[in-house]
This record gives sequence, C-alpha cells and structure tokens, in this order.
Amino acid sequence: MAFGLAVTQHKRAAVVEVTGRIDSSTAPQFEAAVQKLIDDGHNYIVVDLKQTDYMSSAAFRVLISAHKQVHKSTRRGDVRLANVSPKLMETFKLGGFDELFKFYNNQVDAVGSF
Amino acid sequence: MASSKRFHLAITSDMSNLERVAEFVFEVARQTQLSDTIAEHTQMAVDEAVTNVMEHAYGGRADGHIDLDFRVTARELRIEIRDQGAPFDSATIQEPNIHSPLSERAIGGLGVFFMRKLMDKVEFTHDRRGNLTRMTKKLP
Repeated sequence: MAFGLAVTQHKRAAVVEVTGRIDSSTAPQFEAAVQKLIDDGHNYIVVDLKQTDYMSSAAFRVLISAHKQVHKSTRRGDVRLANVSPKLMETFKLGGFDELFKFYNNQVDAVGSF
Repeated sequence: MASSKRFHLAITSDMSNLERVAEFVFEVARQTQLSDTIAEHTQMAVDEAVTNVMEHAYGGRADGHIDLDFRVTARELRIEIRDQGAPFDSATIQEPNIHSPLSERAIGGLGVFFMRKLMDKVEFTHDRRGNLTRMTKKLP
C-alpha cells in the first residue's frame, strides 16, 4: 500500500488520515503534515489510522512530539487516535502508549470528543 | 546438528529500502513457516535495527552498505546486520521510561527498546569489519 496522507479541518478538530506503513522513510512526511497543523494554530488533532497496519518508533516520536506541543499550547490540546486496529494496538501497548493516548472506534467519535 | 536455512539481503542505507527489508522478513517467515506474530515482531525489530544503522552508522547517507543475514533452525531465528559505517553502540542508549506521562516522555531510545522487547537477545558489537547488530528469537 503506497504511503499517503489526507488532512481535513473540521470545526472541532483537524484530522490526519494516514495510508500505509509509517516507518523512518515515511515518518518525515507524517511529521510535516502534523507540524503544519500545529504551526497553523491547531491544538486539537485526530490521527486516523484506519489504513495503517504498521508504525515504527519513528511514528511514535511524531505523536509524542505533537502531543507535547499542543498540550503546551493549551492544556486541553490533545492528539487523539481513531481506527487503531487490534494489531497496531499491540505496538501501542508494547511502548506503554495505550494508557497515554485516547482511542476512538471511528473518526466521527474522535472529532466529537473535542 | 539441526538443519538450518539461510537468507541474505544486501541493501544500501537509503531509507526507501526499509519497505524492501520488511518484504524480505515476511518472505523469510513465509518460507520457514514462522507464525504471523513472530513474523511481525521480527519485522519490527529488524526495521528498528536497520533504521539505527542508517541513522547512526551512516548518519543519513544513502550510499552505505548493509548486509542482512538470517539463519533459521527449528529452535531459533538468528539475525545479523552488518555495516561499515561509523561505530555506534546502541547498548548505551538510555531506555525510555514507558510509565512516564506523555508530556514527560523522552523522544529517543524507543527503537532499541522495541528491539529488546520483541527479540530474546540483542547485541551490538564493533570490529575492523564494522558494526554488527545481532538478534536472536527463540522459536516455539
């Protein structure tokens, strides 16, 4: 599956939909998309991982960095995740991220949570 | 002595080769009938190990040489990753505290942490021929 990103902006939050593997070769594109949203003043971000079945440490570094920035900007700022597959959730658990991020079954619920 | 199957992949240190490395790991797993879980864990550990070499040994250069050797027996999977880049010792990288809150999470060290969690043994050595990352996974 070729790597791809789609960014949409809603009233409550901005959404980054990722397609394909996030490893060290694709993480810079993911980081650039998320960073642009933060630089444009977005503090409420949803990352939709419906089309992603692999994340390496490089992907988690992007999520941690983004979370730190939006949380610093406003205490309610957050990066929330939608459509994380059970397989991908295993990786979140491996890194101890399953209790740190908020997960939603679909994008609508994730956006609505803000 | 148990029979073993050997597999080899040579790549350059271009990050775009990471997907090829993943395909190679899954192909080895298919040919040696490893379980999906072992295949996925191995793929991730190898992805992190090769990324380390690309980033630390070759400093992001795309023309470095990396050799991957897999040896699979009934008992274990042994992986050797060799490079001729600058010496690096990932064993000294501090492990992240995975119990700290997100706002206090360190950004680095996660790749080696994943390697150690996913494999049974991870070793980093350096000699005249370059760096060697060696990982072992016991097979059920």
